[in-house]
Amino acid sequence: MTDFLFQKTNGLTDKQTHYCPGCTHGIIHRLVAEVLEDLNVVEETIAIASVGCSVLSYEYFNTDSIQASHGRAPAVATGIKRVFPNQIVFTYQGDGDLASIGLAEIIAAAGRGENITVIFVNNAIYGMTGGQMAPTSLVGQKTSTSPLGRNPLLAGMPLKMCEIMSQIPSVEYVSRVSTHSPLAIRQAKVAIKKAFENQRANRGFSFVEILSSCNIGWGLPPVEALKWIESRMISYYPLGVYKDGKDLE
Amino acid sequence: MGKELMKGSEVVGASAILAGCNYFFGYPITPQNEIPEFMARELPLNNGVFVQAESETAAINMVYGAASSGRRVMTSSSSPGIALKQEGISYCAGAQLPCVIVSVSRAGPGLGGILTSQADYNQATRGGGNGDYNVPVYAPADLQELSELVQHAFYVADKYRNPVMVLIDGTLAQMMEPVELIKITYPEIDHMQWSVTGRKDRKNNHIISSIYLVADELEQHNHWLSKKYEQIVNLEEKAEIYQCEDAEIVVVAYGTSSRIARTSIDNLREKGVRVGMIRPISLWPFPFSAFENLPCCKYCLSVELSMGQMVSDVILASKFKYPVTHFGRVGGNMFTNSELESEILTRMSEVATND
Amino acid sequence: MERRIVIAGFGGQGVLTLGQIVSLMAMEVDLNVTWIPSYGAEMRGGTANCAVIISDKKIGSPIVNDKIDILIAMNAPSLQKFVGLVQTGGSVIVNKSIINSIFDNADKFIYEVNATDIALRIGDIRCANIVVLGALCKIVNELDLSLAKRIVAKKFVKKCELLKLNELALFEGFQSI
Repeated sequence: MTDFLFQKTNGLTDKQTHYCPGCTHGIIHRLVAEVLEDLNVVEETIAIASVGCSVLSYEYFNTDSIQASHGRAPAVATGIKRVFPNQIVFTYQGDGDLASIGLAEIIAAAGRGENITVIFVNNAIYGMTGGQMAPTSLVGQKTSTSPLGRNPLLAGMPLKMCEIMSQIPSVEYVSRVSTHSPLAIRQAKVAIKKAFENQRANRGFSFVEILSSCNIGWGLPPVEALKWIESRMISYYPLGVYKDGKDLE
Repeated sequence: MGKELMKGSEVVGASAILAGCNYFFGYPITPQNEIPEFMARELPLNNGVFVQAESETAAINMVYGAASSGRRVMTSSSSPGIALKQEGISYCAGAQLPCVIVSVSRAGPGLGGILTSQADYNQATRGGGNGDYNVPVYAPADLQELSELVQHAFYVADKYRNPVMVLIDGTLAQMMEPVELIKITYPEIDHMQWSVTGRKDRKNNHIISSIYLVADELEQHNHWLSKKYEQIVNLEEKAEIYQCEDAEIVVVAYGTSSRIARTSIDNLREKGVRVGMIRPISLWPFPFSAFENLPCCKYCLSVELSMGQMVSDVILASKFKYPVTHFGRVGGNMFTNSELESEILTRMSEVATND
Repeated sequence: MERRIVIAGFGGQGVLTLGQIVSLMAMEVDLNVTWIPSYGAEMRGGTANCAVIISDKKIGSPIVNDKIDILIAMNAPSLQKFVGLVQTGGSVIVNKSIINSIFDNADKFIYEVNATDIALRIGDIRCANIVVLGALCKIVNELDLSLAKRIVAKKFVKKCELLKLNELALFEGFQSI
């Protein structure tokens, strides 16, 4: 008998990911997968992949999956969750998908208090399409569609999704975590776990925003990119639990 | 069970439930609101699920999610709302998800008006979504047939793993007629091979997706879909042929306009006018074979409440053997029997002169 | 045989219900029937109308936009709107209680029924539509008064207190012309 000190979680398939070297999507995938394994729900989970860099995430999560169209993952999740209320359903969405084209769907699913888990990966850029400005790109951040830097007079201030989501009465849990350091990653896992435990206990809509790096899109070496999360993003997107428990009458 | 006086919208809902549809996702828009209202009232009584979505786009994507389970799922809307659903219909076709979309057309373009119209023929038969796909479209002309075709639509959707549309209009949705709700028995179709349920004891994960990033794989997928559509074209055409054996003028009309046309044909037949009707019941596949045996036809009149969207299909069906023109009213107006009859008589005299 | 009936009035006068009762009666005697209301924005103005077609043949368009055989006008705007579409030899039932307008009636049969007054007198203004139904039974062969009684009783089966009132309304309407 062999003792394992460390092993890949069975929440992930053996498929090699397509993510760029230095990208933190891989870490977030693993956190989600480990949580599914820890909770022993891999075989009763349905993952909803979205459009963006994580479009192929259904190949990596070792679960049944549905690939949704741009922004509609929360609607797709609603559909399958209403058929299988006892299965675990989560969406995995980026900032362009969730905070721009899919704003209506995420707000409405939260408004209904759907008993699903939303993993929101905020890397402040459209990665898949080649580095365009996202709703969460920071003021002054240079992207291919804000070549002089995001100008708040033209593009407004970046959207703070946790702050928005926590205002919605039927939302159970909102938390913002990060991936810039081993400690932050461990804390991220705690939040993700809580979000899935909530679903299993039928407590309702749980939303975890995860600050993530896009070293290629940002034009930084990977280590610098992690530092950029810490020095630039966290000051605008403060970490922490924004909501824990619904506002019920 | 016996006949009941029922509203078209209620027939849609009741027949869907009869067909085993337990999931409905919709959004309010006139003139189809009675469908979601009926489902909101009735589905919970049968342990079913009704969700009022935040938009038509969201509703069709809820359908996409729920249909991934392999269960029977439906949505309904009207013209501008169906336009919004086209995105999701393309995804359902690409991911091969069976579902039923009921379209209650109103006058357009844009917000248009809410009265009866058939100006969504192209929207229904050509679709507005992206990519090479087709959606079978059924167009009933009365409420008994509506009940049958809603049930049939679920079967065809399951059989081919494809979205299917039932196209009606404000008149058929709002009117009442005696209807006998009869459950039609179809062969059972098992979706366990592909449906998303949570993996459970299966070895492989089931994945619903329309994405194929490798050109050869997508090409293969496109060929597979095309083969399916070819099969639908070969097997699923439906039409009624009325008084065509000796007809010199053949009216082509579906849905509400075919009701008016039938009366006119009866009226003119009493006067000895040789006129008949082909009533397409499936709009896609268009019933080309119904046109194969029209020995006396000299003229075809495409009678529709649009500016003539069906004319091109009728011309194809005619194989250019006789002229095809359009007659109809638009904007929510309906032609009367006397208007149609005088049009037919005018065309008849043209035909006689040409002889 | 085909009867093209238009029933029009204010919202609340039971115009759509009356149309449905007539439809149910036709169904009961194995005739084909269609009923269609005006809908959408038209509904919001406080007026309501519906068209009922009864026939022994397959019915074409359920919409009656010409050649009305029988118009039931429960208020003046409805009379003005539809009377021009009543065909020669057609009938118009006028709710005389609230309609004073004079119109060209040379080629039509006019039946004046004090429907609202009768309804008030016998106890409930809401049964004016049933009063008119009584009158309708007198002028349409296919619609029989006893059949009307049965269908009305069925339609209001949950409101048994209305049973006697509706029977009275039918009778009064029948007698009124």
